[in-house]
Amino acid sequence: MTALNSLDLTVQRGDLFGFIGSNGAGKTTTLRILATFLAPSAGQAYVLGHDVVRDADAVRHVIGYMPDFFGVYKDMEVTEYLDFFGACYKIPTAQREKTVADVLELVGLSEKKGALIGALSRGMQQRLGLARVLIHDPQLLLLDEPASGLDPRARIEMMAILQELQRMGKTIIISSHILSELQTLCNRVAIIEKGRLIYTGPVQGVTQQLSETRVMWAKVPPEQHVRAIELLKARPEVRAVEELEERLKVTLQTHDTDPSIISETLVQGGVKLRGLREDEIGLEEVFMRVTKGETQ
Amino acid sequence: MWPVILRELRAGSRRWTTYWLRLLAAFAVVVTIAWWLSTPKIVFVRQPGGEVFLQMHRVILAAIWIVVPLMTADCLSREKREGTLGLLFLTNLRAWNIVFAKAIATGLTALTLWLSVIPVITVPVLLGGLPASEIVLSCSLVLGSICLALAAGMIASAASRRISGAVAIAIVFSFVGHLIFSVLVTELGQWLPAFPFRIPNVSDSETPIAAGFFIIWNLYLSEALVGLATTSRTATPITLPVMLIPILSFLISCTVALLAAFIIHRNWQDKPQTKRQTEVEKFFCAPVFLTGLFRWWMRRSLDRNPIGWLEKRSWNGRIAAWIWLAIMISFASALAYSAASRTDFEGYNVLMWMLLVSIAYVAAGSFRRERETGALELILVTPLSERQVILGRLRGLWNQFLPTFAIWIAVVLYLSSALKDWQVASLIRFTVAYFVVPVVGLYFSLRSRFVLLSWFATLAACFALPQMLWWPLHIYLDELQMGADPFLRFRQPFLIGAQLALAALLLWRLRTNLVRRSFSLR
Repeated sequence: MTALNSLDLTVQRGDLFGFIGSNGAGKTTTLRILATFLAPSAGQAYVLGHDVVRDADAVRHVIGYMPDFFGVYKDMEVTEYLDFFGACYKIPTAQREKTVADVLELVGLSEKKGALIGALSRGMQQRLGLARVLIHDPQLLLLDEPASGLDPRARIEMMAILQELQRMGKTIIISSHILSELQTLCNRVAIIEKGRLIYTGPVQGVTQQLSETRVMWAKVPPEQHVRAIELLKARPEVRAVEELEERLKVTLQTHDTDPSIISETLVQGGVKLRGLREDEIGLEEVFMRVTKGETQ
Repeated sequence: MWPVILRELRAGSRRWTTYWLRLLAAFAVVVTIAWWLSTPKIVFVRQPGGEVFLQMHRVILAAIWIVVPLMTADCLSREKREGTLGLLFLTNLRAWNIVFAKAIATGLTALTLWLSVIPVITVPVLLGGLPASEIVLSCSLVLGSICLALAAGMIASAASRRISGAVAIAIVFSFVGHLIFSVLVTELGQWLPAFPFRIPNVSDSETPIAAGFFIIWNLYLSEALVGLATTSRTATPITLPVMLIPILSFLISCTVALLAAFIIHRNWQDKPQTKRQTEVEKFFCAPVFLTGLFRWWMRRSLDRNPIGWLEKRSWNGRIAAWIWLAIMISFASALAYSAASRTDFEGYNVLMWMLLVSIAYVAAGSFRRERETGALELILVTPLSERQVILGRLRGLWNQFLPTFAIWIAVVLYLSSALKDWQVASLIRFTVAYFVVPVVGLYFSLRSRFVLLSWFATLAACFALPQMLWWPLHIYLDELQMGADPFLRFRQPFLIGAQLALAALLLWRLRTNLVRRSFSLR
């Protein structure tokens, strides 16, 4: 079975990069390869210039990987857990105590430092996972579904922490199913399906690149609807015109078509144009349009 | 109740271990026959069929008392850990439904293990000298043992939530069940004149523990129990009292199962620790003396070897080490105190075997928690190399039992001049085994998701496999007629060499598996 197929992806330093795909699309495999947990059977992957296979040790120093499960020892105390991973990352003892306190402060768990992990709520365990990721001050964070299973408040708080980390200069790759949040959080996204890359680029550009057509909504007086439809249908740049909810939905032939032809046509034809705006489709709609829901 | 039985049987049929256990059971019996027939020094006092059958019966009975309680030990505790027991209680099922369903499913699996060896039984029948009454007695003992062994495992599973706890209790209850069964068989022989077999009475001078061991030993070794019929070369008629063994065992096991049902009915829900439990745990398990030194020692241990530190950090890990130390000191003192046993090297050997079996269990479950929680994936993406992870864990395991082992070595060396059958080779072999067992256990803990299977595999690989490799060589040496005791001259070096070679091979495979991530996660 091929988990990833010709996946060619570049993430810039400082990006908050959203990784989107159905279950089984290959997101976790990609993150595991970048985290040096899995070796690719073919192809290369580089993290901050280091090859993930040949230079895995260097990669492990600069990344922080948070899988889609907690990976906690429930009978350990919070500080004990972070202390253990700090030792695994070979942080000197004298420095470790301060680092643990700092990361707990950052994720808002300072008050729980003496608590047993098993007694923490799911949201707090997720925060603890994030604190573990940050313990060695990595430059790249690989976060697999960091907000899954969290209540709305915990999710919003988690997103705020991620934005703060981006402001601190961290590069973050985040895989998530909550696309509305990725849309506001990330500056760039990638969509994959069946291990293949469908789109990569800025969030703002995703709708433009992935939509074949451009949809505009024109508001004209109801008595002039028939006239407006006739005028617009006569233009070769217009693919379709529909009357919906007292407005006209105008579909242009391509996404590059200049929408000002609508206003020009209507005004020149004597139709009163009261408003014109572009149809805003969200990341969720784009995702639904461009993917077929196929898994491997 | 049927849906639970069907689910259990269906799940069991999908497990590859079910198939391999059957194969292994048949293989063990075949090996026993082959070994018995090929051993040149044995003089048959009976006809070969009866003699071989007696050995087979012993192997089957011992296997039942070892395998069945362990097989059953985690059936209820796993449901408790995974939270599925609560889901079963939300349906119309009662506690006794669940317990009996589990017991029936596990009992059927145990029966299939026994059935798998039945074809091999044709060998002693064909060899001759095996009356039907002996087969019937063996069957009734096996069925009775299955019932009581199931009960021992079931009550252990109901009483515990953790697998290690359930296994430990199952082993204790298995011994108790063994004793009850032996007493039952003995008493039937005493009370019922029609009972065809007699067991020697325990001498009054024996201590209770020694008497218990003696009674159990009779079950396997007493000529009076199995095989008496054939010494006189007359077939003893099958009598009704023989059938009382499985019937009484079944009734006892039903009572125990009801007790297990009562226990899980009371404790299936997750309850927070009471204040008293917390206080007791704190009183007995938290460090009290030299806490500053203890913290310094743990911190130093974490800095030097974080993976090994995981073995030491939990109080139950430390308690296991301390308990073993206490056992070793107590037994060594007791053996040294008694004039009769002071010079008996075998007694010290038994202690060491028990320690090695414990180390094998700890090692076989070593990576289990990390795999279940996913922490292993997190550890493997830290800068620690696979080699450091393996060596760290091995050092942790060795250090955990080092004081106990050191005391054993010291006592044995001190008494070496007075010990009967003292062999330097045995000492070297135990020392090698002490270092080899954690390596092999660690390999199987990564290889298999089932702790018990890893444990058995570790014991088989460390101790049974070298013996099996030695066996054909032994026959070959014997055929060459290389002196009177080729066995003593070559056996120990061969076994030590085989163990070392195996450990080196599995260490290399362990590292390869970790590097290639060829192990099942979570």
